[in-house]
Amino acid sequence: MSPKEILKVENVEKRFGGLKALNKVNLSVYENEILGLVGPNGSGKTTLINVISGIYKPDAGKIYFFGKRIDGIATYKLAHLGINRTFQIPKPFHGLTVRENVEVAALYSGKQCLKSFFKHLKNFKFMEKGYCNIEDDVQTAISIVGLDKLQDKQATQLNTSEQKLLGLARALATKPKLLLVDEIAAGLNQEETDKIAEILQTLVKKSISIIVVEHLMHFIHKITSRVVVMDSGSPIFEGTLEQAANDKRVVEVFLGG
Amino acid sequence: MELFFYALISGILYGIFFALVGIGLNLIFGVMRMVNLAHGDFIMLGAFGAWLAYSKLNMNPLLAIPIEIFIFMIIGFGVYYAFVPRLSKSRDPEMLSFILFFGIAQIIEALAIFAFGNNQKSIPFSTLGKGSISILSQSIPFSWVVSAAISLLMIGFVYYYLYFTRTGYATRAIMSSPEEASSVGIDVSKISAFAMGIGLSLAAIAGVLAPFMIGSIDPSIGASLTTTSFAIVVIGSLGKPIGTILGGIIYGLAMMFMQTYLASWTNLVPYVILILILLVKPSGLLGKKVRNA
Repeated sequence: MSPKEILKVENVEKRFGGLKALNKVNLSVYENEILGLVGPNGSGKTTLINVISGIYKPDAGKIYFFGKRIDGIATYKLAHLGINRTFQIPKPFHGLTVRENVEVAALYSGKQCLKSFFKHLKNFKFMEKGYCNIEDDVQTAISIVGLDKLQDKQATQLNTSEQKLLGLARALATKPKLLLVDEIAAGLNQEETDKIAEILQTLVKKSISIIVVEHLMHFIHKITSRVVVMDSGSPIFEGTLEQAANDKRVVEVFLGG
Repeated sequence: MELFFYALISGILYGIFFALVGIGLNLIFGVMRMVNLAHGDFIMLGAFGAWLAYSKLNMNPLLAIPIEIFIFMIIGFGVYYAFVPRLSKSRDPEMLSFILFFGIAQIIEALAIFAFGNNQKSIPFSTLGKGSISILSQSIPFSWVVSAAISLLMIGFVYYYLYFTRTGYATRAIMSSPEEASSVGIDVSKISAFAMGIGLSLAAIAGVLAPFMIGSIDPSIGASLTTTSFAIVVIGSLGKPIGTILGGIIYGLAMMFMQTYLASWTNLVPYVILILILLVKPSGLLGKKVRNA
């Protein structure tokens, strides 16, 4: 039995003025896998993440998520459907504590709120943030990334690696089925990188598929089963990282021929 | 010493009112990063609403408040969906928003002259309660106390909304980063439109109280109210609605002390404070970096 395909990108194109940032991109993500997306700077990796997460609308092509057409759907609706992401440069919500950052995400994940909303409406407590019964989701997300001890701190007081973990916790609180992780290990030390690798591997066991964009090959090597190599807006290779290292075109792209 | 206490007490009461005058502008700026240059004109419209209620319908002007909240919420949604999404997509949203809202301000003023004429209108102070009360042996007009109390109530509502409701949490998330807010599932347009509605409603409520606090009204008061609001907001902290309370009170005290000791200089107060703050602490007294945050 072949694994179930959850995301299918079909002939997607994206132009910025005259520049073709994505050119006929085809890509699939299967259940319970971590797909590595690699390639030199400007090869279209982050653009592809932005198109899948709804920040950009593709100029051509289709994207399917569990068989449903999703290209052009607004980002917030995709979050409700189960696609979420982290950002290259983390920007936690300032003025909110770590826990509140995660709470906002859980409150707006578009799930399980309605029923308890009406329950609380009867008690005149509908204006309060507590009506969604999100506390468990919030605590789970925080403890997966290991920020338990910092949860009452202001989010802006965290260091870079903690802010990246917070970004991850926030994404997890929306209960994603597909997680897009954009350069999460960049700028972190070995120990922090290993910790994030470990977290991502536990997520896959919880039936979350992940696309990882990364430059750090040892990180990619450690966690991915399959990589897609991009160059000038198109995928040029698909397979394991070892195979990629022996592929003539991939070597050319990375070492400049 | 008598004069000092009088200036102090009236300054605080006026300050609370002026906090309400500015808070809507700051809320809209915080959420949309756009300066609503028509803010003062919405206050002016609110004031004329109170005047209409009093002189044409024989109502207590305060009863205009709930009606105006309803009307200005709708106007806020309309203004948001007509302009803001398109502005946000443009290359320089902040600059273009200045021009756009300046245009809206001009249109509102022109229409108001058309509808109400250029003559000054007023509502007797006694409609908010007759006489005066004594605070620290100073006799303070009752209408000022009522206006300050209503202002405080409205500011309390904004605080409750931002810090204790689900939509308020989302609003604060958007103030911090709209892109990340939408990525966690928040419908940024809907919540921003709501913030615009609240911002304009707050302006209108300040307008209802304006005839009692700043005297007679006419369609041209909008422009100076926008300047005043801007000064108050900058003193507190641009993009931080609750900071406006501090801005309002500093402004109210400065104005009242000037009026008591150097009356002819009073009109310079907002501009002098604005320039001083911009020179000394451009991010406002409670400020942190707004643009890069």
